[in-house]
Formats: sequence, C-alpha cells, structure tokens
Amino acid sequence: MDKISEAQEILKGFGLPQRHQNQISALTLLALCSIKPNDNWRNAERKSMILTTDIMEFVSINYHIRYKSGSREAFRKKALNPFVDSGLIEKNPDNPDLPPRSPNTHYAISFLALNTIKKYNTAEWELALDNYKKYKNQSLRDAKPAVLIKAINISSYKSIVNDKIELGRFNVFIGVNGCGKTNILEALATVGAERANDLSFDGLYSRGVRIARPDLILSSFLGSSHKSSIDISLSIESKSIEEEYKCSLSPANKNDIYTKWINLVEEELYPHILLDYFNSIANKTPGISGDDLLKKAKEIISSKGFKRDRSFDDILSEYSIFDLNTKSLRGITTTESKKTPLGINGEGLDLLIASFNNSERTQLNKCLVFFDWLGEIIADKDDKLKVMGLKPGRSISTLYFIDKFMQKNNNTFSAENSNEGVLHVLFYLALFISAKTPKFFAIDNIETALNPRLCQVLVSELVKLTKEAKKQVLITTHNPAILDGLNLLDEEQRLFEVYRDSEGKTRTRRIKFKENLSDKEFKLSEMWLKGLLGAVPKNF
Amino acid sequence: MKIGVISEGHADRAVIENIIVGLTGLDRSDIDALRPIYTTDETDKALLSTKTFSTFSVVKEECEKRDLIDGFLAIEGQDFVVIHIDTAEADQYEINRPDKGKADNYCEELRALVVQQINTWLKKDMSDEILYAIAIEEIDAWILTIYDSRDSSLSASPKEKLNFILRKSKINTTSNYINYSRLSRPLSMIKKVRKGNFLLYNCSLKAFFEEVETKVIPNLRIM
Repeated sequence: MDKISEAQEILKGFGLPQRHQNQISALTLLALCSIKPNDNWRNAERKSMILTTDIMEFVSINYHIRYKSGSREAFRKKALNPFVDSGLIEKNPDNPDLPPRSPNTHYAISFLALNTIKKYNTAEWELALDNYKKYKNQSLRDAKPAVLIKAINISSYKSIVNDKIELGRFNVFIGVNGCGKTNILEALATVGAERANDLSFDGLYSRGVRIARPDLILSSFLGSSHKSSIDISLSIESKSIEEEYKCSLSPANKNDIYTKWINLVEEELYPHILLDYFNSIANKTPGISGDDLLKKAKEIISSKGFKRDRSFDDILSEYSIFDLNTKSLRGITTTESKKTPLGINGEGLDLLIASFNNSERTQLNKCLVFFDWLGEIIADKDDKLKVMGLKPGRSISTLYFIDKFMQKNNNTFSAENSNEGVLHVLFYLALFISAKTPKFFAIDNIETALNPRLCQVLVSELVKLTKEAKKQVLITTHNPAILDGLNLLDEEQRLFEVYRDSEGKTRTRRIKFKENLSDKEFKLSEMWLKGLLGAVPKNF
Repeated sequence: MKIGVISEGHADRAVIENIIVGLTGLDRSDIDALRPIYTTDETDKALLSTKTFSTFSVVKEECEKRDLIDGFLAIEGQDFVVIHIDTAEADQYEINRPDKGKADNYCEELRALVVQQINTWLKKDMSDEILYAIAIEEIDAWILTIYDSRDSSLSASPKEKLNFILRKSKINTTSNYINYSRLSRPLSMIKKVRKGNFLLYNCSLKAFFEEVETKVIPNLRIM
C-alpha cells in the first residue's frame, strides 16, 4: 500500500468522514507528520507548517503533485479545517493570537495524534486508536489552562466586613437591591488590578469597579473602627495544586479618589523581590555592569511594580465585570471601555465575531434557535452593507442580522436597528466561546433585555460553554428565570444568597438542596418568588 | 441555620423573631418570612378581596398545601418552620374550647387542641421540624407580659388591653413589624425574661420558649 492510501486509512481510523479521507486530506496529513514516501510512520514528527510555503511545498517536492496556488481553499476545506475541528491538528500553536487571515497561520499535528500515528502498521495500532478516541475530547478540553478560584475571603471592602465564599465554576448571586452583590464582584476586580500592577483609578474603572473615595470603600460601620486596608485572600487551584494568595490594600491617601493603593503584604517583601529582579537580570545577562543592572531593574519596576509573579496572575489580571449597555452593543456610543476583545459595556462584539474560526462560529450559531425570526448573523468586516444604506451611519458596529420572515431585499438589519435581546445573547455567547476573552470574569445583571424562557436556556448553554472552555464566572441577577438554567445538584454550578445581616454587613450563603432530596416540587424561580430561598425583601 | 416563619402578619413575626434571636443567638437575617401572600399577584388579591377570609385561614391553607413548608425545608441549613396562629378565632377553625371556668389548665389544653388541629392540617407528623407558636388568645398577650405583671393568658382581648396599657404610658401602639419588634424587644433578652418572670404570666409564651429550647438549640450545638 502506498503512503497516500495508508494516510487515508489512518484518517478513517481517526473517525474522519469519508469526504475528508481524500487525496488532499491524506497528503496534508503526510506533510504535517513529515512522512515521505519511503519513511516509516514511527518516524513521524511534529512541525509547525504554513499551508503554502510548507505543506503544499512538501507535497510538491516529496509526492510530485503540484497544486496551483488557487487550491489553497481546497486544502483548508478538505483537510485543515476539519482536522482542527476534530482535534487531529492544532491551529497556530506557536502564536494563538494571530489574526484570522494572517499569512503566518500555521498548523501542527496534535501530540496525541502524533503518538497514535507512530503505532500505525504495528501490533499496537488498534489499541493506540482506541486510546486516541478515548482521550481526544479530554485533550481538546485540557488545551486550556484549568485555573479555578476555589474560595475568596473579603474583609473591609465597602459593606463586606468579613465574608468567605466557596466558589464553583458557574456562580450566581441573588439578593435584594443594595445587599452587596456587586461589591463581591468588585473586590475580585480590585485583586485583578493589583496583580496587573494597575491599582489606580483607571485600572479599577476599566475593570468595572464603581470608584469612590477610599474612605468610602473601606468599611466603616456604626460602632466599629474605620478600617485602614482591604484584606482579600484567595484559594486558587491550578494544575491540581492549591495555592493561597493574600493581599492587604491600603490607600496612599484616604481622602483622594485618584490615590494609588499599596499592597502591604508585598511591601514587606520588597527587599526580597528586588533581589529576585537582580538575580533574574544577572542570570539572563551574565557580566552586566552595575549601571545597566540598575537600569534594567528600574525598567522592570516601572512595568510590573514590586510584586512576586504568581502562576495565576494572568487569569486574575484579565478579570472584569461586564455590565452590558444596549447602546454600546449597537455601536452607537463612543467606546467607553478600551478592554479588548470585548469591552465591559458590550463594545467590540462585531470585531470579535468577525475573527471567529469555523468551530467558534458553529458554536455561536446555536443562538439561531433562541430567536425564531433569526436567519443569519453577518459580521460585515469591510462594512460594505453600510454603503448599501443598511444602517444610518451613527453606529460603528458591523454586525447585521437576517430576519427570515422578511423579503430577501429587505431582510438585513444592522445592530443599530436590531432587537436588543439578540445583541445581549450574542455578546454572552461570544464571551464564553472565545479563547481570547478572559478565563475568569463577572457579569452584573445578566438578565437585562431577555425573555424569561430565554434566560433559562441561555444560562443552561452558558454553563456548558463555561465547562468546555474551563472558564469561571460570577453572575448577579434579579430575574428568577435565570435560576431555572442551573442544576444545583452539580457542584460546579452554585447559587448564593447575598444579604445584609442585622448590623448591615454583607454576608453570603450558599443555597443548596439537602442531600436526601428525592423530588423538588417547584422550579428554583418559583421557590425564589415564594421567598423560600431568601433574597427577597421581608417587610412588605 | 435559617428558620422560616409562617405567621398571620408582620407584627406577629416581629415578636417571634425576638424570641428566637434571644434564645438561639441567630441573627435576624436568619429568620425568613414565609408569606403565602407572596404566591399571589395583584389580580389574585383583587379576586380575593371579593371573598371574606380571616387571618387564620391563610395559615390553615398553607398547612394543608405545605408548599412553603416543604419547599423551605428542602434547602440545606433550613431545618425549622414556625407556624403561628392566634386562638382568638379558634372556634372558626373547629376547636371546641375547654370551659374556662371548669378547666384547670385552660391555656395548656387549648394549646394542645390547636397543635393537634395543625397536625391534622399538615397530614403528616412534622413535629420535629415545626415550632408551634400558638398564642392564647392573641400574640399581644405575649407582649403584655412585659408591660403588665399579671397572667395574660386568660385575657379575652389582650390586644385591647395592651393598647390601653401602652396608651396610658404614651407608648406607640401601631401594629406593624417595626413597632412590635421594638415593643417585644425585652423578649430577646434572656436576663430580662427571667427577671421579669414573663414566662410565668403566659403559658403559651412559655410553651413557645420550650419549643425553641428543646428543638432548635440541640441542633445548633451539633452544627
């Protein structure tokens, strides 16, 4: 059997459909494994390859089949895209942030597939193939970092004097207006700003924190002393190892809204941190002069401040509180949030969707079932539809929606003219689907503009996406229907009541069914409305 | 731990809350109002207003349906529900009152009959989870023990009597949550309860204290 036929047999073994077992698919696999006609499969190698300069070139030199440059699309459709979707190969493993049509777009065989392929034509092939099928989905999921904030302890942040919350992966907070739900989200944003060396007015504001004068942020209750620092500790699980992180944030000037905050825990370690910086520079640049050493150390201090690097810094630094504003989603307000790819008020949705790959787009299209009128979502990257007069021009969004009930020449609506619910739903799906959006984030008042039934199915979908993408989210809501999308028997999905105790201090309590629960007569939404979960005003 | 309270009104709950908080050390936020009225909307209320119904009927209906009780007890950390009912309307919920003149223990006997009736409404033995707050004849009699050092359980109209006594001392008599919480605050202070012998002046108040002491406090020790 020749190598092309063998490659086709391998693709069949991997479970690729027949239309992706053709000659182009086989040659692409051979190129990505660097297998020439006389090579043994056990010598297969993983190399990052660009389609035209590497893959097609490899085919031409080694298999003497010369494809015209116009065949690139055939390679993508018949081989590369389905291979990526099935997890057989990885797209842009060396630089995941490449733009979608970058000339540097590259591909590499996945390690699991490579190790399986090496067993082809051996007695272990069938076993290897079984293992590949068994672990394929797991490895797709494990490609994303699995960091989980297990618990947070907040002291002296606004109405929270001392409260511990044990988080799951998908966390929903309910409570009466003014009970302190958003304060919990903000305390985490403050930690994120600290980890990003961005603990300033702008750093906090850009993460969705409602800024106040420090003496208003630090808890001050009747009959107790005014606190001087916000103390927050986190218990973080990363790669099955649990780590503790503590910070004690104190304002340089209690009365200045623009003041800098200092982490007192790190301040104690300043001499050690400085020594670490010197050591790191000296190791990288042996023989560096004293002046240059000081200069380099100064550069590091100005960019990252005095702080010990922790494995979870990136995850926390990216944390933001999303609080959507329909005008921002429509693209008709001046962009307020500069966060990319998605702003905290709904900015940037059109560009993110335009950059989605096939797999992301397929996931996004699930939202078509949420709206019976929605035929198609168009990300008009070049804004050609504007020229056709399909939007008045105030909006900078390039998103359009096709209403399937309308006549073909009158069925395309711009984000500016579309229904607001679809924009909110799309934003949430994009936020949860994309690998470019934060892994850990919060959403304040998720229910805005959504029909109650839609709330339930959307939350159920978001739970699935959160798990698949190994993200972690904190959500607040005042809409009972949101709760109906949760399965509280799953430890990863948690519901919390936030309330003020008799002294006005914010407390959090997990709402969980008793272990012996065999039947539940009411939906969670009904239970909330009946007052069985708390989180409702009591005196009227 | 959270405790749910099904009561005839907000003012009644305020009194019950003071007693529970004083005996158990729970925070007021741990006491939840389970109000059958939360299951109705304004249209229901408009329809209901055309019917005549008494305050006890709301409690009776909830005991028979057990929606709020079972739903509340399904959640972890929510192990007790207080059912409050005044005996002033006991005749209407089919209680044959003992003869005040003949019964040695009128208060205890009447209370026992009402507890039995509640259990019949509930259709199953829930005595480990229910805290019976039976006020003879009105919950005002429990407050009366603070302001009038005499047995209040035989008073036919404790509400009127309490109003009369409070007005004499120029104390606000409004029957709402805030005022009744303030009026009954001494019931949350164990030392004052003992010093004032409040429990000696009303057997139904004493019985409710015993309910909380024997059922809730042992559970708090386990937690």
